[in-house]
Amino acid sequence: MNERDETLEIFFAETEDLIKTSEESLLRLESAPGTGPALEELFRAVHTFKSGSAMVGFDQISEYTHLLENLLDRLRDGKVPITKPLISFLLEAIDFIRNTVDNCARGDTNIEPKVLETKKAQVNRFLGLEGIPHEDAGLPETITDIPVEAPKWYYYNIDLIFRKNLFESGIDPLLLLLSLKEMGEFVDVVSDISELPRYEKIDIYKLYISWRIILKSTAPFQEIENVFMFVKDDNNIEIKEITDRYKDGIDLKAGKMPIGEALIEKKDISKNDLDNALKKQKKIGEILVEEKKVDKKTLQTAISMQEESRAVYRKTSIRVDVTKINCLVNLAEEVGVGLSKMQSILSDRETVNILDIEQELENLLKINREFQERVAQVRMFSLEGTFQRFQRIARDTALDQHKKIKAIMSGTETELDKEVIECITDPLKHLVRNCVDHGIESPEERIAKGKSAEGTIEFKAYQKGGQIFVQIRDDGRGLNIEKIRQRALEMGIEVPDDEIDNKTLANIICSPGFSTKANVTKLSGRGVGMDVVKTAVENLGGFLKIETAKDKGTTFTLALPLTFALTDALHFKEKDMSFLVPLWGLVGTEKFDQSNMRSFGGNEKLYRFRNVYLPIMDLSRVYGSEMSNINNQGKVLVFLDTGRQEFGLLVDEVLDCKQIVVKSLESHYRNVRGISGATIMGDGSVALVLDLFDLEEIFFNKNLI
Amino acid sequence: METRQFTVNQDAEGTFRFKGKLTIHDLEYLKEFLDSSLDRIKNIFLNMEKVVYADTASIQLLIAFRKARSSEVNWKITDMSSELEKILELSDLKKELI
Repeated sequence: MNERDETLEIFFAETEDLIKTSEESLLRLESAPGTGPALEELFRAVHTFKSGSAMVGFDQISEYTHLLENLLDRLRDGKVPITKPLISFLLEAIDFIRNTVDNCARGDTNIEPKVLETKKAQVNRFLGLEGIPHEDAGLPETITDIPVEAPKWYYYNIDLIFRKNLFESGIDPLLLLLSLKEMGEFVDVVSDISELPRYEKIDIYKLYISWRIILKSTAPFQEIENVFMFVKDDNNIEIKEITDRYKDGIDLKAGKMPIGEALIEKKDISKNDLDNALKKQKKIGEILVEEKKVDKKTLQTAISMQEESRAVYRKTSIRVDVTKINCLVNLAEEVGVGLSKMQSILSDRETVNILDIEQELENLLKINREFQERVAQVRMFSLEGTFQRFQRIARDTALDQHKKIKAIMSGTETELDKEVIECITDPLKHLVRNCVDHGIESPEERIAKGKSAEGTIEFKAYQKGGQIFVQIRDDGRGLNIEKIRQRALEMGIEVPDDEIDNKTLANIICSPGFSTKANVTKLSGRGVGMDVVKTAVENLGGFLKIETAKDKGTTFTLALPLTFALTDALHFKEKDMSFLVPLWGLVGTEKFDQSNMRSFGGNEKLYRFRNVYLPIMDLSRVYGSEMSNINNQGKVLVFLDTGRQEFGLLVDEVLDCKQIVVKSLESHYRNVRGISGATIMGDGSVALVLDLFDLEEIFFNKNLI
Repeated sequence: METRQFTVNQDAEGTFRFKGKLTIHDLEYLKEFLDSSLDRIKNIFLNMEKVVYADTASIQLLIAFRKARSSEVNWKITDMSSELEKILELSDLKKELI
């Protein structure tokens, strides 16, 4: 990797952090508007990003973020109020930066000039809000005080072309502009000095400047017209209401208008300027093809390869907290010291003391164990960033659907393996949209039900045993059981006649293509998603649980393995085979005692363990043979709990606990039901690692969701 | 005799410091100042920190002068009052003057 690549790698990694910080700060700012830590953090993040992008030569991004920085600076000074449209706009701006940086990572460092100009023009419009009268800060779009009935905003296009001898009547256009400003906010102002003669020929008492103003105001047309009552008769004053053209302070027409035309409209350039510029516009590839340095096909192949390579390269690198690296460095030093000691002990073979060797070996094994644990932690990342993304999705979805929501996060410090986070993020995004789209009711519906107008969506993570639980909960209407039953029958899915329990319900809604939503929205209702969620979680060795109650809400719980890298496991033997069972599922072990055993029917056996009768299973059932009825004396019971089912395994011999690296069996052999993988033991033998959820399915014939 | 609403002095660094209101009433005086004092100067540094108001006629005159001399002189407004800055931004004329 050369220096340039290293710098870019750092920039890309930093960008991810800065974008996360920015989003998180914006969401905090939205819930508690005002100058303070959230705004300061946002400002610092944007400022750092601006400098970073300039340093790596992404000048277009740097220019854009410079404008954003200016806007944020005005927010800090209280010159621009913090409104919902502004927060939405800033979140979109962050999305734009994220996408642009992604494109840069794929090698596409050029932003379409018209796209960039439109984006910059949008920032400038917000910058143009400077100097809003303070009383406007409490208007309905501000976050701090949202009245039940928001007053209507009107947008006006005002062209002011005054007669040249206006000054003779004692009127100063600037005073008219100031009066107009008191009616609302200037979304845009364009002055035109093209009529201004050369200085030598100027008549100082004549007016040569004209203006076009876009005014946002709650005032009706008549009141706007009244500002010009003394000049409207003998001047060219044209006022047009253009409210339909604007949304959230943004000119919808501007987005559709090519930048050249927009600049001409703003009188920044002439038509000739635009034509000349367009003639020169070329991409580097086009130039090379034109100059016959490369043919089109070769160029396209190279671009595709570069894109793929950069995308993969970016995905394979992770950013690790320096404290984690320092820990590894310290442990590596300890290994070095330990090995030196061992060398010293062994240097004089005549005086070698076996106890010293054993002690040092024990020390080295301890260091090695910690080393392995720390290495595994390098891959672990907190769920904070992921939850922030969900919070943003929930916010955007709610805004889109005119719903009110409050997002609560807890357990954000919980860490998960990077690979697990990557695998669950997209399915969880779907769940979040589902909760807002299907679950949370409209404010009117909630009030009618006696609930608060604002719905709640909760993102929670916690560790229990060797598993991480990720929950998404809403306090909405809950799943509509009857609708689900009806739709399931239409799709030919088997549904019990009596009450549908949560498990069956989950089975149905996770069927491929299942959806009860009559209207497909851009958010959900296409019947894709829930099956994807279930599959993704199961592929990770976890499970999905759904609980719902009418008008109380729905909770989706994902149980996931802590890490792929290392697992603590109990080692035991059964019929001369070595097995390991994850320690997180272990309840306890007990020497078999016939007096505690109860038999029911054929092979059904229960064993009394800690005053509770638990079903006893034989591993031979995993491979199709019947449970042996021969003498079990001398055997040992290993009691396990999957989180939903407790059971015991009858085994020949329990050995010890080990920390193991689980290797996939599938990649070396084939997928075996009940076995999650294998590991190589200290003596070189192979032991099979049991999959508790698979065992639960086999033993209790449960179709797990 | 009517008193002028603005004054202008040159400091030790050669910067012209304006003070007061620039209005149409003193427009001729302003033009006279531009024609005489600023003619032939290569570095025109104006300090508007103490200018509390400027009307359209005055700003228009300054813009015309600046446009006429922009190719041959180094023009710079070293500072301006918040009131003046607000007026210039409100009227979209700041970009023409600085």
